[in-house]
This record gives sequence, structure tokens and C-alpha cells, in this order.
Amino acid sequence: MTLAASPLSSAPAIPSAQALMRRAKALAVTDPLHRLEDHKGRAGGGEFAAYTVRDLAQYAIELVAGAMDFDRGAIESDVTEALAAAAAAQQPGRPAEEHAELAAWVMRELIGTSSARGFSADYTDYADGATRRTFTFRVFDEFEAAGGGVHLRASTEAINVLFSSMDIDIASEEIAAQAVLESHVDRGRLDRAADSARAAKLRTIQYQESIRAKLAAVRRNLDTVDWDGDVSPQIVEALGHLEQRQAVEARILDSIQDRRDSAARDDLRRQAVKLIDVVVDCQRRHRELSGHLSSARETFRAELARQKFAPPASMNLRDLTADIIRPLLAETVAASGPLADQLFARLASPSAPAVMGVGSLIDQLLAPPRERAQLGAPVEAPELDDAEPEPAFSDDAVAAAERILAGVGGAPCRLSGLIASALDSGPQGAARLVWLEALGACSPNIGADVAAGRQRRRLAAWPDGSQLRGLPGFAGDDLLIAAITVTPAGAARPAVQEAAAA
Amino acid sequence: MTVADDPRAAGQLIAFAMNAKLRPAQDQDYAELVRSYRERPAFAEAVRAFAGGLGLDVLQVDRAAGAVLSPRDGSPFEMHAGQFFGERGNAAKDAMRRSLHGVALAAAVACAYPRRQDLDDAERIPRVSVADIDDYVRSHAELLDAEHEGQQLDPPAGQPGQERAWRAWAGQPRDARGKDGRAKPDCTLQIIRRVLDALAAHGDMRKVADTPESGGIYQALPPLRVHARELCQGRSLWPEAAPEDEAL
Repeated sequence: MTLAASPLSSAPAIPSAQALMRRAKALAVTDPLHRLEDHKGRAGGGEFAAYTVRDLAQYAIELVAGAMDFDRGAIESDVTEALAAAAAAQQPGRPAEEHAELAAWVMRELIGTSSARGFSADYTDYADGATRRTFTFRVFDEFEAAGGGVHLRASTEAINVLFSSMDIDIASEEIAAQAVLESHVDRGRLDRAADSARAAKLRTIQYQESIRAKLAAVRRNLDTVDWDGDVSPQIVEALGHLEQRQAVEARILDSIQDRRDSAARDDLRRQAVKLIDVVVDCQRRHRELSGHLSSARETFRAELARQKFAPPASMNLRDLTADIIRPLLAETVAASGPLADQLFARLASPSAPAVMGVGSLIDQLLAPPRERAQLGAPVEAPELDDAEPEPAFSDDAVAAAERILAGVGGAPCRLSGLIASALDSGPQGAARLVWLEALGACSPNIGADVAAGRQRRRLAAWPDGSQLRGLPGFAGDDLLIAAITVTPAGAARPAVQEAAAA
Repeated sequence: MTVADDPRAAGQLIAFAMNAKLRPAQDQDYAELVRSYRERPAFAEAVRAFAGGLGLDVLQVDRAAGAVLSPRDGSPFEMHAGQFFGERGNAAKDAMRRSLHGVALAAAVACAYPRRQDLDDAERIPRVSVADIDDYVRSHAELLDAEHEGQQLDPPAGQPGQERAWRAWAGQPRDARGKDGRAKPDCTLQIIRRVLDALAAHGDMRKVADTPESGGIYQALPPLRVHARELCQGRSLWPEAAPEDEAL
């Protein structure tokens, strides 16, 4: 398809094909968040439906991004804990285990497993006719941190999710974000500056991540990298960018410090101190990044020397699926046995066989048998508190419902009216109680009164075909309800009939 | 500890490598020896010689994976599939179980590193799930079924070893449970789980979660990537001369 014939455009092709493509991809990155929201009803036994999950996922990305540094990331358990706290804030009445389960589920889904190859979305590339292409991306990556342990890193695509505008050049966005921050500070709008400082920090982290990923890619493919023509100019450009950023940050810091010192109010001073923290953090990140970039040339030279002796690049490798799994599956069971032995020998790390010293063997064999208690450890009688059954309805609700029902006379009135007045005036639960009483009144237990020979007032209710409408939480037949009196003579003289006759 | 280019330090590095759960980041002495290996060729040579005497090849030494060793044929450290699943003495059934476990192992590695370049990405720690691995094998079994349509694939009676490996996998139940609700040992999910747990015991995997829909989620640790890369680059699983022999 081309749009050449479209009356909308005389241009031969879509003029903004590149921008369209970038925006389509940027939008696709939010897919995992929507998918979580869509699937929440099917996970966790359906309990997760009570939460809004999309914002939890966003929060997770923000947490991971905020913890990222050049060689460190976020620890999954920390993020899960913070997410559980956010889930608890959404639904304080739900059990803490459910909050933790929900948090763990969100993280598992966002990290994904490898054979799913991350997330993917199709888009159309109009640059060359109209080609349908598949874009694959990840939200989080796991990696071994320099200090040990597995950390999480948010992809630059994922960080983009946190911004509503998505079609961006990261370096320019960072410049823009800092300009906004500077302008707010200069005009003394410290309240506005807090938001722009947060945005500036995220842009800084995003820039840092894009540089890190570039350096890592260069390091992996040294023999295919054009150092002088490609990488070196990029490093020079990045160093220039960092130098400018640091100059701007120094200016902003001076300006905030002036504001802080001249601030008349405590809250302004506190705001200024918070802003300073954020800007100092950005400064530190930029300083570190400068260090990494400055030493990049030496690092690569050393790496290049090492890789001369290293195995060749990945393109010469066998493909695990095409060259290993498929031929293996096509073998007979008998022939695949020796191959399985080879696989185990070659894929599992060897571990040390247990070696027993004769001395310790003799000691162990001669050791007296361990005495075992026949009955095991003494069982402590658990202390149990008597559980007070919690009433389903509060006393206030019961009183309110009784008051409303006492107002029902011989002339029938509508259940919808009673529920509405209970919703308006009564405490929580009163409306539901009124509704339950009305349902019970559909079958008033007159026989028991007759048998006991007592005179008492009862409610009788019956449907007339109209429906309850406009009452949140209530549905079904709108009943007519009236009071009747049961007399000891054994004959119920329904007030209803009187009313109907009248 | 000071590192001299002596056999003792070389042996120490091998001993650290044999400790499945230990990484250089967790132990200063280990990290120091790894640094020496990378910076001093004489020490690296001493380590390789020492390992060679034990029948081991040194595949890679770095901070993330530590020292990654691989046994040569006939090494006392060489492992066989039977050690992972426990042979029961019935030759036909053991052959079947050996085949199934080998397929599960290869599939787990293929799912962790689906593309060639994944084998070179030393940073990322991929996740795999038991259910994904089974889906992966079954989808390839279906493809192979389609490719062999019309061919006689049933093994001759009394020769179960002649059945094709993909048909054997597809014929195995995915998730069978006994009366007590526990997974039966020979359903494919349980076979995969057994293989992944064995890799975890050797420091090549780590279990991170256990959910009913995934059957268990594992992280593939750096040493496994090094082993998988060697498998894709070193000598072929199949003796390469065989096809030419047939041609002659």
C-alpha cells in the first residue's frame, strides 16, 4: 500500500515514515502494561481484579530506573516490596500475602522468560513500500552486578513509558528537561521545579543507559566496529554533551542555593533542599559517565588485544535450535542416548566428587549411635485467643435499617425508595440490610405466629414486575412492601388488602 | 593471600571453580585469582596445565562466571545422563529416559539462548520456565511430524529403541499426577524440572519462582552460557566424518 493516490497528500510516499515508525514502536512498548491490566482477572485466582495493575507496572519501571547506575541496578526483592506497599495502599482491607503475590506476579510478567524472546509487536514500515515488521523489546533485563548478585535494569524503551511524549532523541530531551528545570528555578517556581527535576533526573538515567548499552554493544562486536569513523566521534559528542550538562547543573545549583538562602518560608527552604539533592545526583551520574567515556578508548584497546585469542564472533556459532535440537529430536531413542551423555558432560559444570579420608571414615563408623527421642520434640500447647465473631452489620446500620422499616405502614411503598433513603442517611450496610429484610418479607413466616398465638406486626413484600434502577450495588425486582398485623385469632388480616381496597 | 605462579594457587582457583555456588564477587581470594589469571599469562598457563592434568579444559575465566571448566572424555569429572535421573536397570526404559533427559537439557539451553548473539551477551541473565521449554519441544515435534508425513515412523515391534526421539517426547504425558497430587516422575514437565534442578545443583541455574502456570521459573547463570557457547563452537555432537563415509 502507498498513499500516493491519496487526495490528502501529493507527496509520493508518507513524508514522515520515520517518525510514524518510531511512534508506533514507542506505543508498542506500553503493550506489556496493558496486557497486565487485561490479564489480571485470570491471575491470582481472580483476586487481582480488585487492583489497578497498569499503574503498579509503571511504578515498577520507575523504581528500577531510579535505582540504576552504570554498573548497578535494582534488586528484585526491593522492588517487589515497594510494589506490595503500593498494592496495600490500593486495597488496605486485603491480606498482605495477596499484596505480595500481586507484586511478584507483576514483576514476573514484566521480566518475562527468554523463550518468549521478550515482548514483540508488529508495525508497518512505510519507508520502503509498506513492509510489516516485528519489533521485539524487553522491559527489564537481569544481569550480574559488579558487586555480585543479580540486578534488574530497565530498558531505554521502558523508561520512555514514563513519559507521555515518546518520539524522542534522548540527548536533546535531556537538554530540554534541564532547561525547563532551570527556567522554573530562575523564576522562583520551586513547586513546579520539583516535577521538572524528577523528569530531568529520569532523562539523565535514560541517557546514561543509552551510553552504557552502546559501549556494551561496541565491546561485544569489536571486530565489526569502525572505531575512528563511528565510535570515536560519538564518544567526543557524548563528552561534549556531558560537559554542557555539568555546566548547566552547576548554574542551577547556584541558583537554587540562592533561593534557599533568601527563602523567607520554611516550606520553600525544604523544597530547595530536595531539589539540590536531585541535581547533585544528576551531577554525580554525569561525572561517572564522563569517567567511563574517557577510559573507553583504553578499555577497548585492552579488550581488542584479549579478543585476538578469544573465540570468534557469534556468527560462526551453531544455532541451538537448527543445529542441535532438531537433529537430536530426529534421532532414534537408542542413538540419542550417547548424545544425551555428551550433552550432560558438556553443559553441566563439573563438581568435585566427594572424597572420604580413611581417618574420618573410621571415626564416623565408630561413632556411637545418635540417641533419638522416641516422641520427638515436646509439643507446646498453642495459646489460642477466643475469636469474637465479627457482626456482619454494625449496630448503627441495624438501628438505621430498623428505623426505616418501622416507617413502613399499611399502604405499600417501594423498596427502591427505602434503599435510597438508607443510602442517603444510613451508615454503611444499612441499605443492604433493608434489602435483605425486604427479601425475607417476600415469605413472611405467619404460620409461626399463628401457632404461637401471638399478635405482632410483620412486613410483607411482593414483586410487581418493575426493576431496581440507579442504585449502586443493587439489582433485581423492585418490590412493593407493606406492614401486616397477625392476630391471635389465627387470621392474618393483611393491611395490604385494606390498602388495595382503598 | 598472595598469588604466586605456583601450583598451589592454580589448584586453589580450580577448587573455587568446583564450588558450584561460589562466584568471584562473593569471595575476595577467588576474585584475586581470577584477576591474576586474566592479567598474568604465566599463571594462566599454570592453571590450564593443572586443569589438564585433572582432565579438565578451562573454557573461560572472568568476574561474572568465575572459572568455567569442562571435563574431557574420560576425565574423572565427566558426567553421564544416568547420574542425573538414576538408572533403574531396565535397559529399554533407561534408554528412553536418557533420551528424554538429553532432549530436555538441550531444549532448556536453546530456550535460554534462542539467538546466536545471546551466547555472546555476557551481561544478561535470561529466564526460562518449565512450561515454555515443554511447549518449545512439542512445537518442534509437530513440525517434524509434518515434515515426515506419510513415512512409516512406528518402530518395529519389540524394538522401542528405534522410535524417533521427538515421537517419544510427544508420546509422553505433559503433566501427569498420582493419587496424592504429586507429579509423576516421567511426565515431561517433571523431566524438565529434574534437569533444571540438577543444573541448579551444579551452579548453572537458579530457581527463582514456582507458579502453577509456569511449572517453575529459573535463571540461566553465566557458566551455562559459557558451556552452551562451547557446545555451539567446539566439536560437533555428531562425528563429522560420518556423512562422508556414507557417501563413499
